[in-house]
Amino acid sequence: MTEVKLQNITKNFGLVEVLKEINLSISSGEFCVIVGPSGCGKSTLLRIISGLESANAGQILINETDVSNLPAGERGVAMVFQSYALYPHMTAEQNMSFGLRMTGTPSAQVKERVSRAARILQIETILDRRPKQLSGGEQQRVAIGRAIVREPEVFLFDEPLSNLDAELRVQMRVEIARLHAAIGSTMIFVTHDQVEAMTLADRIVVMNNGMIQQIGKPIELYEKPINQFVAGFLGQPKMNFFEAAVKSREGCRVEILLGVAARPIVLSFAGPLAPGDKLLLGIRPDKIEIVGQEAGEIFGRVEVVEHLGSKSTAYVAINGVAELVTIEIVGKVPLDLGESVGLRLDKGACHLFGVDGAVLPGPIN
Amino acid sequence: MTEARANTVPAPFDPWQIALMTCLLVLTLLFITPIVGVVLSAFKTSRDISLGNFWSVPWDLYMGNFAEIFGKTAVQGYMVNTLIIAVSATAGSIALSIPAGWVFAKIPFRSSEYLFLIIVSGLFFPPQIVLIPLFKLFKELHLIDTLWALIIAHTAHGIPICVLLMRNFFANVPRVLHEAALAEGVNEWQILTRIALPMSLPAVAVLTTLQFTWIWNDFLWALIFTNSDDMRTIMVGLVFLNGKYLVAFGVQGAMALLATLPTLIVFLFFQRYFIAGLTAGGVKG
Repeated sequence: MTEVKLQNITKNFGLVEVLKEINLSISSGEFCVIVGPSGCGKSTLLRIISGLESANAGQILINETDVSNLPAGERGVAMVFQSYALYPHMTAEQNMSFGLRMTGTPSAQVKERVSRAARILQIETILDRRPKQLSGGEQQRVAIGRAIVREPEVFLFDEPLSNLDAELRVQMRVEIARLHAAIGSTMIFVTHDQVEAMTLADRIVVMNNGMIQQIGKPIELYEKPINQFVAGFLGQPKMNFFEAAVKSREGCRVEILLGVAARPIVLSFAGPLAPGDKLLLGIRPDKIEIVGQEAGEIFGRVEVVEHLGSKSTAYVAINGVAELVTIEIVGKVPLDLGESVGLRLDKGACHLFGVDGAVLPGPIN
Repeated sequence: MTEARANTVPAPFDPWQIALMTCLLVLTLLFITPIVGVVLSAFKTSRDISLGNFWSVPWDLYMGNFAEIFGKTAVQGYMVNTLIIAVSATAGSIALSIPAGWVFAKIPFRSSEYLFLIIVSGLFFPPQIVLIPLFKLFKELHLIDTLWALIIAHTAHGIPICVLLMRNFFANVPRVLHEAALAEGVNEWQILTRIALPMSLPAVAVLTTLQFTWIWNDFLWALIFTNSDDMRTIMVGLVFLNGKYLVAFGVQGAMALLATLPTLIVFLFFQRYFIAGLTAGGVKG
C-alpha cells in the first residue's frame, strides 16, 4: 500500500505560474480525484507525479521516498491517458505486455499478468485485436489493463473518460470504482467533470488557477464549500448566487436584502456580519421552492423547464439578475413557459460568501 | 439522381485548360520518347539501327543484345558494384537519419534546431560543388577507385534529405505514445525501434526508394571516383560500352533496360507505402 505526498510543488511555463506551492497528502489505497476547470493545472500536477513533467520546485514522496528526480518508469506509477495512447500497430495483448517485455519481465510472468488483467477487465476475447478494431470503451479497458499489468503502487488517470459517450462514461465510471475496490491501490484521478469526482472519490481536491481550493470528502465539499468557486463548481445543476446586503442585525437574527427580492430574507447566522455589509448568497437548486406569488420571496418568470423523469429543472428569469435561476424539483411539476412564479429559499441551506468569494464563517439555521 | 445528372453536364470550353493539357502532353511526350527509343533499340540488331530504323517497331524481337550483355562478365561486375554501393549507402544514410530524426523531433536539446538546419542545408549543395574537395579527400585517404568512396559520398549526401523526412515524420508520432512508453519504463531506443519506426514505415519506404534510385542512377561521382573497370558502376559501364568507332545502340539499350530493373523492383516493392509517405502530414488526421 502506498502513500503519496506532494510538498510545495511549483511549476512555471515561462512566466506563467501554473502550479503554486501545491501541498497534498494522499493516503494509501485512497481514491483521490483532482477536479477543476480546464487550465487549472490539474493535468500538469498529474504529469509531475508521473514523472513526465518536472516541477520547478517541491518534492514528490511515494512511500516516504523522494521520487522527484526519478524517471517516469522508475516511480512505480502507471498512467492511463485521456486519449488511451495505445500503440496502433500492436494488438491489445501486445499493448498490455509491451512495457513488461521491454523491461525484461520473464515471459511467463508477462503472460500471467496480462491474462489476469484481461480477466478483471473482461477483455479476454479482444486481446488479438488492434486498437482501430476496438470500440472506445474497449480501448479504454485495454489502456487500463496496460496500467494494471505493471502492478504499480499508484494509478494515475488523466481524464480517462472524457472521450467516451455519456452512456459508456457512466459504465466505465462504475468499472473504475469496482476496479479500485478489487485491487485497492492508491489512485489519483484527474477530471474536469464534477459528477465523476463526486461519484468516484474518497476525497476530492478542487483546483483553480494553479492552487488547491479545498480538499475533502465529496459530501463535505458539497455541503460546506470553502468559497464561491468550490460551491459553484461542485453540484449539478450549479448553485445559484445572488448579490445581497445586510439590512439589519439583532444577535443572530440577520435580515438580508437580496437585490432581487421583494422582501428581506431572515437568517439565523452567528458569523461576522454588520448592517450594510455586501455579500453573496448561494443556494443549491434543490433548496429553492416554487410557490405562489403571495408566498414567494423572489418573483420571476419561467423560461425553460426540463423534465428528466424523476425530477424536473426549471430555469426562472428574475429582473435584475443576468443568469437564470435554476430550481430542481422532484417529480413533474406543471409549469407553463412564461408563467410568473414566486420562489422561496430554504434558509438553513443558504451559503454566505464575502465579496472576495470566501465563505463567511458561522452556522446558518 | 440530381447529383448524377449534374455530373453528366459537359464542362464549358476552357482555353486555359486546353492549353495546360497540351503542355502536359508535350512534356509527357518529351519524357517518354527517349525511353521508347531505348526500349525499341534494345530489341533490334545494330544493323537495323544503322540502316535508320531506329524508331520502327521491331516485330521480330531480337534478343541478341541481352545475350551479349549477359555474356559479358564486366557487366555483371558493374551490376554487383552498383548494388553494393546503392544498398550500403541507402541503408547507411537511412540508418543514421532515423535516430537523428527522432532526436530532432522528440528529444530536442539546446540549439538542436540550429543543428537540424545546418544538416538540412546540405540539400542546397549540388554534388558538383563538393566534387573536387571530395576527390582530394578520398585521394588523401587512398579511397579513389574503391567502392568505399562512393558508399561514403552517397551516404553523406543522402543524410540531409533523410534527416528532414524522418524528423518530419517522427514529429507526427503522437507525443502521448512517447509519454505512455516512457511511463512504462521503456527507454528511448526501444520507443524509437518498437513504436515510432513501425509507425513510420511509409517514410522509410519513401526514403529507400528515392535514395536507392538516386544512387543507382548516379553517373558523376561514379565516373570521377572510379577508374578501373572492376570498380565501375552500371551507369558508367553503359557509356564504356561504346566502341571507338561504333556506338552499340542495341546493346546499350538492352543494358539501360536492365539497369532500370532494380529501381523498378524497389519502387514496386515499396509502392504501397510510397504514396502514403509522400502525402503524410499534408492533412491533419
